[in-house]
Amino acid sequence: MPREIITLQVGQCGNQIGMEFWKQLCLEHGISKDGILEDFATQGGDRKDVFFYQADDQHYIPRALLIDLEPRVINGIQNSDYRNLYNHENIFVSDHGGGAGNNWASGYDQGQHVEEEIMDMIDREADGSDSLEGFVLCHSIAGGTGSGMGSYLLETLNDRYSKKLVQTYSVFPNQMETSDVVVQPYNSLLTLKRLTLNADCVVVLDNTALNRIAVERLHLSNPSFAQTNSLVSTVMSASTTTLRYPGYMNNDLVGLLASLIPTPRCHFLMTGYTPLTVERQANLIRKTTVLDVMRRLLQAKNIMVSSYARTKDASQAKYISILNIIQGEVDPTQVHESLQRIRERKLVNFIEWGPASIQVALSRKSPYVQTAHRVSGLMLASHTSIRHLFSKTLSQYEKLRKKQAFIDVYRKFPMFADNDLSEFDESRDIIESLVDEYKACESPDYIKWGMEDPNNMLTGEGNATGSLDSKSVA
Amino acid sequence: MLHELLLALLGYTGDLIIDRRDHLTADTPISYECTFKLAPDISFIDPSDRELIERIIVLGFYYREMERFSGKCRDLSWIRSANANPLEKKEKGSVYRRALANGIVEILSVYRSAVLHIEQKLLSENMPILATVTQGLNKFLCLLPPLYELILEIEHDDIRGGQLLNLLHKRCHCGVPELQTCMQRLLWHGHQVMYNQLASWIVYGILQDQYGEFFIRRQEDRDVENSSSHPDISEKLACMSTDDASLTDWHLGFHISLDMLPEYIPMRVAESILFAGKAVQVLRNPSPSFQSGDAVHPQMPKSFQKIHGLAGRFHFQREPAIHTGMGEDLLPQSEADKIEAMLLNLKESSEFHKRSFECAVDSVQAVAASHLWQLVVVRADLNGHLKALKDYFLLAKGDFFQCFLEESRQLMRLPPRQSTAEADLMVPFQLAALKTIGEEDKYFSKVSLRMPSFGITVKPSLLDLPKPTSSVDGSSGASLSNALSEMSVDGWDGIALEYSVDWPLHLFFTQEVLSKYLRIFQYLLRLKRTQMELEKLWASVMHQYHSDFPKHRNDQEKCSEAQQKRQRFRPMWRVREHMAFLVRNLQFYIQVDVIESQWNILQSHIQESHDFTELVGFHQEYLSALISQTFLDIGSVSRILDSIMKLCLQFCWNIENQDNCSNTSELEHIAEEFNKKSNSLYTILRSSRLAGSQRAPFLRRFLLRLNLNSFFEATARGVLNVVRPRPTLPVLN
Repeated sequence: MPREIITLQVGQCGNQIGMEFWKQLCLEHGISKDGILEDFATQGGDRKDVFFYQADDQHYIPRALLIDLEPRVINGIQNSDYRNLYNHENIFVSDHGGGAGNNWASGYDQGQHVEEEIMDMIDREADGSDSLEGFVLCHSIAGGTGSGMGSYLLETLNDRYSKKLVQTYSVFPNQMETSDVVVQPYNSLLTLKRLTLNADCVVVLDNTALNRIAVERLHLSNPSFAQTNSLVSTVMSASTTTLRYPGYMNNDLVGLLASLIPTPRCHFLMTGYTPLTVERQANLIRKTTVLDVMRRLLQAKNIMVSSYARTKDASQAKYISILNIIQGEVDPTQVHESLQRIRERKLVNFIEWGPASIQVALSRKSPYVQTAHRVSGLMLASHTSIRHLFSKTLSQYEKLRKKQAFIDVYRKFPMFADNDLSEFDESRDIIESLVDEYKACESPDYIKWGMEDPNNMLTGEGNATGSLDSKSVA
Repeated sequence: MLHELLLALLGYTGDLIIDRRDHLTADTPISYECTFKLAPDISFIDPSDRELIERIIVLGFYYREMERFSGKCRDLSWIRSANANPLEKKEKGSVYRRALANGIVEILSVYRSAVLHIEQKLLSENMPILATVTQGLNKFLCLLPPLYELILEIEHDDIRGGQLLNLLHKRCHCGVPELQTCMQRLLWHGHQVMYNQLASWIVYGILQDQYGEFFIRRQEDRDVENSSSHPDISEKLACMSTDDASLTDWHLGFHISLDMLPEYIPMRVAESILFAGKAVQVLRNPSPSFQSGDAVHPQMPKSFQKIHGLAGRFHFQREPAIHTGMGEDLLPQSEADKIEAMLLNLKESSEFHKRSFECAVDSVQAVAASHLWQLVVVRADLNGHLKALKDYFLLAKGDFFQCFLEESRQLMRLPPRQSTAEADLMVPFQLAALKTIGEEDKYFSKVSLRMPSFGITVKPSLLDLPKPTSSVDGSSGASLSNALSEMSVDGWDGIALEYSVDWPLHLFFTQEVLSKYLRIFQYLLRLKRTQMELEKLWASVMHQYHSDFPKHRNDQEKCSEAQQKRQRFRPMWRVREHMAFLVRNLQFYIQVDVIESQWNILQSHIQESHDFTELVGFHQEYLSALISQTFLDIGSVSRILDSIMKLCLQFCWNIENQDNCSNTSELEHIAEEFNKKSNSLYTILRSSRLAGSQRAPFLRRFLLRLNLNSFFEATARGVLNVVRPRPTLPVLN
């Protein structure tokens, strides 16, 4: 078998995203809702084994663990058309079913208590792989289970599977509406620490941007979670096409990620996808070209992370690396023309301290899925403007922390017992230094910055940034 | 007296008219001047009559000499000369001369009739006069001398075959209509022979040319010379079989003999004739294994359905009921009959028309090429094999080779063992196939892994890459390390793939073609191996980064050590990223801008063309473009890329083996070398020296990918402007 990947769906959001992801993969590989290969799926050459394993009765079963602390979403999956697809032994719902109450500490603590049970499931799944390459975690960073239990899983995977890669698809909370989770800044900050220290790659999916895209690009007046999650699964399936339809390059996860992450801490990626559809517009076949796709992927409206930067900061933001995965009827000679055009028009602002380019991978498409567009593309990019999203979280956290708002619900758990809030302080320090590093990447002298501050600890600029952000919010 | 004169006109001398030569025999060479003359002692002839007689008896001399020439050429026994002894023939035979002799005999019979006619007139006249004789022979005074000169030239220069046709063709251009008619008739006779040989060649693929006079000839004259020039590895790999003999016939067996090619037949037409005969030979002699496999037709891809509809026009029978030894199903009899009819039309024409000839040859070539195309492209599944060569030799099946390199990684950390290197590699090769291909790919069985068992220090002759002159001017420790690394890298660079080609695809995929594929494969495999090592280094350093933090938190005493380690790693991160960036973009450039683009061009040609020769040309262009656009044939660029790959591998292995501080200076040395090489590469890519060549657009494509954010430009400019002092490296003890 090739390099297998185990998908961990944690929390309500993670399981909703995962459910859409497996739907998409079944469609693309010609696998029925019961996991049986359809009669029409006769073309070989696709690597189903990366994400599915084949049972003795020839069923294709997702290499997935469905984990939640409350049963609602998983019950929905178990009652859906796809109930026979999943391995029932890979489903974990806590016995009490009470959830984590949107509390990171509760999720973390419950994860600690059921560690052995969940690790047994993971170990069993890993034993079923011939050459496991890594894990993909789907979760939200703002709730209780996805954030807290997800954080615990990240730490545990680092301990037990230190040689395996960990990639996350992390949904960041909606910043434009009043959140029903008032403590989400606390949860986000604590999760961000683990994403910084324990993940190899974090694909950032910003609910603010997802909503904007659903409203503006898909013309949905009031998008549902299912619709925004469908966007996420589109990104997930597109970013894994080179693993499932192998070509000359990017055949495994390390090949994909190593090209995007030139420095280990800057491993947060943003994505763009074009063209986007929720309902299929079957009447219209658009003659999309490679140049159209590559140009649109660079437009802010197609990128699934909102820009929180002020105009001055936004103009200084730079791309560290870009990978475009283009699918469909692609004329390879257009790739060079597209790169030339992008360079001539200066559509991309790149870093200056190291070589950077737009890598273009031409990926095969599923022969079983009909699309309205001849060419589609996904962009995975490392961009310094991601720091503004982190700064936003920091400023929100500072506001809550200053008032000691809702701290009591965290004090009830062992990590924060005896009024020990050092975990919060440590997380804040780490995220601040992360923001500093991304800011330094915008400077041509990033190399010197790294040498001058070996501890990667606080600098004056970090303080200034935090202060400025606080003032702007106030 | 007149009767003796008439006899002399027919070549018989006597007392009145004598031959200066005595003892004429069959092998007496043709004289350059007239030997007939009046006997000097005859006194009763008037001086004016004597002059007249001397003028016309030359015709008799010409008649006799040409008759001797014709008789000799036609192998008739020399029955008229009682003095002649049967002697062994020393000259080579010539069917073209025999044809010419037939033509000359025709003309001489006309002359003889004229002489007889004169005799009748003399007998019927009361007072026969000499004027009657001369009057009837005036025409031949224009004809016989040029003909005589013709045979003199043929004899003297031993002209035969196509040269003879050339000579006749030239003599056709003259101002005398009667002479022109004669020459055209002679040429017609020569062309009869040529058409016979042509028919044998292009209808049956058989050379009927016992005297070596046809312009299509076998190569056997040069076999001795060619065999010595074959590279050793080709001879070693070749094993004689029916298919190999057929392949030799196709590529080396026949050639155009310029000596025997008439000037009025263009080289293009001759090449068409050469191709047509070879094609017919192939079509009429299918390999037994191909015939037995004929029942299983390869499934035609959808794109060929249209072509198959067109192919139906050529009476192609997809389900042959009877297999005949003559390859009936590959070249239908109706087609052969058509070709034969075209040649017959040419043959029966009284005059040679160049345009008609060329049109007929073009038609024949089109028929042969079409059927050969049908055989090679459709029946033998050419496109499937092209795809397989792309999958394996051009690494389109990247996951398979990724898996192979993973499985063989430990093995390849050591130099290959000379006796068992190939067997050692077979295990990971089969493992990778099991993991990634399984039973899916029917073409995989044609792929074999090879490891030429040469000494490590000797490069296989198939590798055309020039060996980089590595002048290691570092410390002795660095020299030792470089030498070892270079040896181990070079040792495994010899990994080769073989693709077994069955009849008739060996006409398309020759040894030369497969060696080009191999050359590209070895280059791409090294590139992929380099990239994989850099990626593994990324993963291991990433994991190190994750594990450092808990240690940093839990153990304050080790804090400074972890800090130092991380600080030391930071520059190495940057160097690794530069290396990976360069290797990655080179791969993307090669795979997307070069291979995929050229593949699409080749595929569109295969869709549009029904001509086998064209397809061979397109495929050659495809391979040449791949080699050219990947800089394999630019020494300066390929040498730098080669050394960059070596430096990357050394870098990765040094970090992997790093357990103390002793490797730091070595890493810095490697990093410095890499910076030099990459800046040199950039400078060359930007150089105006290469800008004029045809490959300039492709250099710019690669340069665009490398320099999209102008980093290399700034770096190279900095290097060129500022001459930094070289740091002194500490000597390792």
